[in-house]
Amino acid sequence: MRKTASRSWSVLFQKYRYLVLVSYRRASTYRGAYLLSLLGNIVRMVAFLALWSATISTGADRNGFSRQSLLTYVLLAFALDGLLSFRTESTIANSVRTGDVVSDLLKPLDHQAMHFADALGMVLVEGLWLMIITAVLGFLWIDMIYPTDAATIAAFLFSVCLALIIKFDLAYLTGVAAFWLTDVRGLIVTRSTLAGILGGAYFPLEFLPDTVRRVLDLLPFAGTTAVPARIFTGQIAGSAIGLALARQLLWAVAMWLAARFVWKKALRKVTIHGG
Amino acid sequence: MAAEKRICQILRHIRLYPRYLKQAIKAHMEYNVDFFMGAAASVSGHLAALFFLAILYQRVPAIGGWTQWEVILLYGISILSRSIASTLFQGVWSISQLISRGELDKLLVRPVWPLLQVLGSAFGVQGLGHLVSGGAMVILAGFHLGSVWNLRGIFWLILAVLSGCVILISILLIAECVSFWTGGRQTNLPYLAYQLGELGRYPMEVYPWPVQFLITWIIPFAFGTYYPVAAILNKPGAYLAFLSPAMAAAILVLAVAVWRAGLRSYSGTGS
Repeated sequence: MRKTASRSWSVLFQKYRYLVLVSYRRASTYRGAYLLSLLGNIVRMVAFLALWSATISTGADRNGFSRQSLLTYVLLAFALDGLLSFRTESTIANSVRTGDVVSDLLKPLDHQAMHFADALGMVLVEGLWLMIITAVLGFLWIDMIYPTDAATIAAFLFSVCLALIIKFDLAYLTGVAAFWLTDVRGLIVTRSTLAGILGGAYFPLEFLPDTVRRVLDLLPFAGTTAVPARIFTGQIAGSAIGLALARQLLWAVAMWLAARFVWKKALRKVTIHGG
Repeated sequence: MAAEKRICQILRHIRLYPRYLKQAIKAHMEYNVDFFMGAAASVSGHLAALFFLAILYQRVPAIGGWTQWEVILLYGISILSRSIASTLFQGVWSISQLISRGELDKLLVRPVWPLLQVLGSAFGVQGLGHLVSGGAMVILAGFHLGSVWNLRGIFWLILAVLSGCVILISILLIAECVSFWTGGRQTNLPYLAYQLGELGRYPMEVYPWPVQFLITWIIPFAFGTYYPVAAILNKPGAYLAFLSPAMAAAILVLAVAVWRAGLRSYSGTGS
């Protein structure tokens, strides 16, 4: 009994691993297009870093940020923001609009996990390039600060993984909203702007009034950018890391379940329409 | 005689264009909720940008010599030109899709200029959001700065909005036309160009020279935003402002040439 269970788990794992691989390969096929959009990202990164660096002089302290840690934060936030771009939500929304979602339902796979695997494949490609760009800009230009001890690095990487799950679920929920709306493009843009501000992707949350920041720290959005970026720049250190990660983990699980629940609700709607 | 005929033809096309747009708007109005959602999305994006500016200026009076209200004016003018672009010429985004679906053939057999049909084939609701936000920003910033609402200021403002719109549409047209040579496969060039255009909303003085060079001479967005606004506010970049209309005209000619070359090499998709 136990043996079959573990075997089916490994089969299941294989299936999703394969999905990741397929998505990775597909992302690599369109390398030219991706590199081009990356080029655009680099220009934007450079421009915004320049904009920020014009607001803070060397040795200055702004809400607990030195010039170095502020620029490092901005660079990192940009990189994290570039992970897991619009594809998930637009793919799901399109599949609902065109009716292709039916073929998704026929597959013996979990819908959410399937799309997560698909997103992960893309993240592998995005992550690699963004890491290179961040390193080049960071070391050659802005003299980036970075964690040196293994524990902090491990905490940062773990935090990035949790951030991916939260980001994915936000995107998944937005895509599933297509069951209720005819055109989700407006929602997708609004969602990404809002999550970007509340999550600290556009500026450090420390620049907001203290009470506001404390509330935002409790919301899931902070887990998408602010938490990993703070760990990297040392804004969160020592025992505070554990607490921040725990909160992030809690949100990752909660969001995953919430997205699942909404998907189930949406499915019921399909049946009604299908008659 | 031939010239007369030509003028008649042009007038007919000018009269036709609003009708095309009307159809596009009708199609959009079918979905009431989404219509306002699209406009609200762009307003929320601009509110976010204002918020970003407020944070950026929290402790500093000026960035690159520009005060916060000056940047708001620059930002407002640049999205006003976007509002014209997305309300009147949103169709430019559909070119690669028309090619890949083989729908371009349908437009080519009609006795109306294909480019006109394409440009007027869609209506961007977000343009209304740009219009409201940009208008509010320009009016407020204008009163705050005091040096905008005079003949000279209004002249540069109109020039900025018009050349900004022409430059944006031309660049998007060129980027979309790339699909003629990729066999209709969509590239993300248009989106990329659109995003880079956003850099024209902030004072160029702070950018490193490669970025300045890029958005001045390679994809000349700055001529529709930064340089004319620098002329209104007497900034160092003002000396290039007079080139704006010339640059806009030049890139428009280039874009139309690329479109024509694309059409010539177009042979339809499928069997």
